[in-house]
This record gives sequence, structure tokens and C-alpha cells, in this order.
Amino acid sequence: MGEYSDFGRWSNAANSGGRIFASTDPLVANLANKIEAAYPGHVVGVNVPVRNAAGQLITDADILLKNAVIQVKSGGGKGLTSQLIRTEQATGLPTIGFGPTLKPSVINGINRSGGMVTTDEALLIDVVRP
Amino acid sequence: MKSVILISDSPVDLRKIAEDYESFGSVDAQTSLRLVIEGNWGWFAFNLETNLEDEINDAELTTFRHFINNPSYIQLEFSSVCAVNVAISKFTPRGLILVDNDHGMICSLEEVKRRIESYEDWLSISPDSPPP
Repeated sequence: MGEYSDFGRWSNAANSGGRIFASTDPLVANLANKIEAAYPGHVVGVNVPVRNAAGQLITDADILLKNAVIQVKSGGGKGLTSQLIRTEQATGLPTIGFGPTLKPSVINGINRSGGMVTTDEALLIDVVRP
Repeated sequence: MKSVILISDSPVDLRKIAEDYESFGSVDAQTSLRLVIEGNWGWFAFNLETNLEDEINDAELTTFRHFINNPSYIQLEFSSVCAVNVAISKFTPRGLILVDNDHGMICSLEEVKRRIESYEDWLSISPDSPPP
């Protein structure tokens, strides 16, 4: 399993007592905060670089959970299949692709490779339940 | 993870690409299929994709093949807009290169360089976007 060198940015939310995640990708921050709201403490970090034992940068986990990684795409999703495979190999965690506008050709490609992907945010939040 | 796709009209040698970036950061040729460059601006990585056509629909494939008979695909991953702009700006094409931003824009590498120099947001531009 890779080593997580950084755990993204988060801050304590004064009113809720929970954590608020920030990312340059609004989709990542929005989803991470919904998961955190549903399962407090379940989100480990966002935009987390994953390095191997030699220190090489293997991948970047958009949302690192305690039981999975979520890779988020804001566009059609080309290239997501190989990203999911590389992330699973690097982290040893199940990795799920998510994007509201993923193309059917991308979803079919991931399904053929045996990967997990969805455009359904509510389903995703349910699936990653601790 | 943010990424765009580069489409090349000839086989790509990552060792040659690495030479473009030696003065811009730490260059890590991890395998013959993956090259990572890290600097104080973030990081980006070139991944040669051998199975990308499995994810491309017929219309897109027709577009690619209109310009390039036998395309090779490179996924360019990046940590930030600054990082991808460094990657594109310093990329030396060895043949025809198209760029697919995954939001519907497919254009030449030179066109993307022009947009970067004009400080345009080229990453999220789509056919539905208003003209700059």
C-alpha cells in the first residue's frame, strides 16, 4: 500500500463541530463534505498525493475515505479507467469513479475492466457507508 | 484527478518528452509508460494509454481519425491549472498533437498554447461555452 504524504486541507466548522473540506475542484469539495456530513470522520482527506515506499508519486486520491478512494471527474471522464486501476494498485483500497456527466462510453469501458463507477451521488454516498 | 488527453500522430517516447522539462522540476521516468514531473508549481504526469479507445465513443473516434489515422493517446494528469499550463507550454511536439480537454474541446496543441498565453480558461471550455 502506498503512503499518504498529505491529508488535504480541512478546518473545523464552528457551528456543526464537523470538518469542512476545500479543494480547487468544487465537485471534490462538495462530495467530500456530503460524505463527511453523512458519516463524520469517514473522510481522511481530499486531493491526497499517494507515494510508494521509494517516494515516487503514484497517484492522487481525490477523496480518501477510511474504506475506499473516490476519483472524481467533472467532464466526460476519458482516462478514468486507468486512473482507477492505478489508484487501487497504489492504495490497496477499493476505488470508485464518480462524475455527474461521465459518458456512457467511459462507464462501459470501466465496467468491462471490472471497475466501479457511478453518476449517482446518492448511491455513491450509500455505497461508501462505513 | 484532473487530466486531459493528448492525441499524437506518431508513437510517443517519454524519454524525449522528459528532456523538455529537465530545467523545470524533478523528472521521474517511473516506467516506459509513466513520466512524472514535480516542481514548486505542483506536479503533472504523462501516461501512455494503450486501451483508451475503449472509453471513446464513435463520434469522438471519427473526429480523431479525421486528423490522425493511427492515434496514440497520452493522459496528462495534473495537480493544478498552473501545473498543466507549465506542461503544455513547455511541450515540444514531435508531429501533430491534438488536445482533448474532456469537456468537448478538441484542438491543436498550438491553439491551447495560444489560449494559455491569452490567460483563457481552456480546461473547462466546451462547444456550449460563449466565445472568449
